[in-house]
Amino acid sequence: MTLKLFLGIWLSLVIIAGISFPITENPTNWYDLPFVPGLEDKARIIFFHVPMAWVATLAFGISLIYGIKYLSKENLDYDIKSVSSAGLGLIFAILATVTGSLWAKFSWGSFWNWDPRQTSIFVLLLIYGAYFALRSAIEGDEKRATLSAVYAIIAGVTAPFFIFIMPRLVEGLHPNEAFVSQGKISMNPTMLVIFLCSLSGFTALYFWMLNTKVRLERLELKHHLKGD
Amino acid sequence: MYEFLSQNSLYVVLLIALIGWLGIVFYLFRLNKKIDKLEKMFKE
Amino acid sequence: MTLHLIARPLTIYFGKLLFNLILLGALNIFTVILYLLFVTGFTVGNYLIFSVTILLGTLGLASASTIIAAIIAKANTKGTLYPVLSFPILLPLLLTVINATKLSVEGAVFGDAVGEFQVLISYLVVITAISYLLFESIWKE
Repeated sequence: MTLKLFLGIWLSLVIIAGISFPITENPTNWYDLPFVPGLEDKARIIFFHVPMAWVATLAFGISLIYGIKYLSKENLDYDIKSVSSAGLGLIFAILATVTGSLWAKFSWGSFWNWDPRQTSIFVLLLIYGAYFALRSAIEGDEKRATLSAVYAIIAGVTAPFFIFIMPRLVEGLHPNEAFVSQGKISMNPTMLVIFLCSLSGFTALYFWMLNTKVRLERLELKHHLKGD
Repeated sequence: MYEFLSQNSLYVVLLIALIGWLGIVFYLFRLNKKIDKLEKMFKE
Repeated sequence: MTLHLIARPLTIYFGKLLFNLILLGALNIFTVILYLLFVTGFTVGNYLIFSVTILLGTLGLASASTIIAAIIAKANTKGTLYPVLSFPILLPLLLTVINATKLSVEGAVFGDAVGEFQVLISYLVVITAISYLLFESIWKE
């Protein structure tokens, strides 16, 4: 319980710091954030949007791992973990898309630009939309678990192709250079610390959400099995 | 609205943080609905 | 149902794959002939790229749709599920094939399309390998 309270305070501090710390041309004080040409205050999105996208990726990855585990062990508990993680991944992916496109309106001029990352998150949303459509179309716990795990794996192995294809078709708009240049992180220490705090806070939040969801689904399954 | 936001982009970030919060509230609502359903099932 | 008893899953998988391959291949060749005959202004600049694209595209399309159809065959409501499930899986294949066809129509040299072919071949290998591994668990359900 104390851990969760701590997480709440932690994330509140991240939000306060992320929004209120001033941006200056020459950061001298410990709380100064660097000025990024063309982004200005919009650079602060990195504290919220990037962790959401990261959590979505993490959640889908964990869902995939539990799907594979289910196929090899055939234990429904793995399926519960897999589907709970996929649901959370979908929520965070939608949040990342919405926040990203709101930001894009003010930075790139329109809500949707088919930037490589926008396209890949669009495909991810399609895949997991299809995943849940498939789950709702199957009766029988084992069958649903197997087929959806198989589908998630097939989608998981084809999705990386976009990494090779997309750069050929469109060019990227994401302002990576402002934060990472030539493979090295070019944020100033204050920004980096807040960013890492936000990243770890969001990750912890994800594991907490996953934990509550899994416990709930387990109870439901238990009751469901007893009733039959 | 658009004018104001593009001049004060800090509020864009504020909106973004707000959307994140709304996502978590949405998750809580869903969890709550599930718990309601489960409670009803256990009562029967 | 009797198929469950007499045949091994992989034999059935390759049988279905072969059927889809022949069907799609025939359909593609037919479409190409129709296009060449009746669409005015449609000329292929580089026939080598064009035919390799058709071949690899057919192979990839057939193997991807075989495994997705196998999943859907086990679902309760089949209706509209196929396009929903297959679209995200087929999208990388389709985008690459469209690109390669564009190159062939524009009459690019073979070297330009090598990147596209690499993507198509690796897609084909990956999807066939994963289907080979997973078909048995679908079939058992």
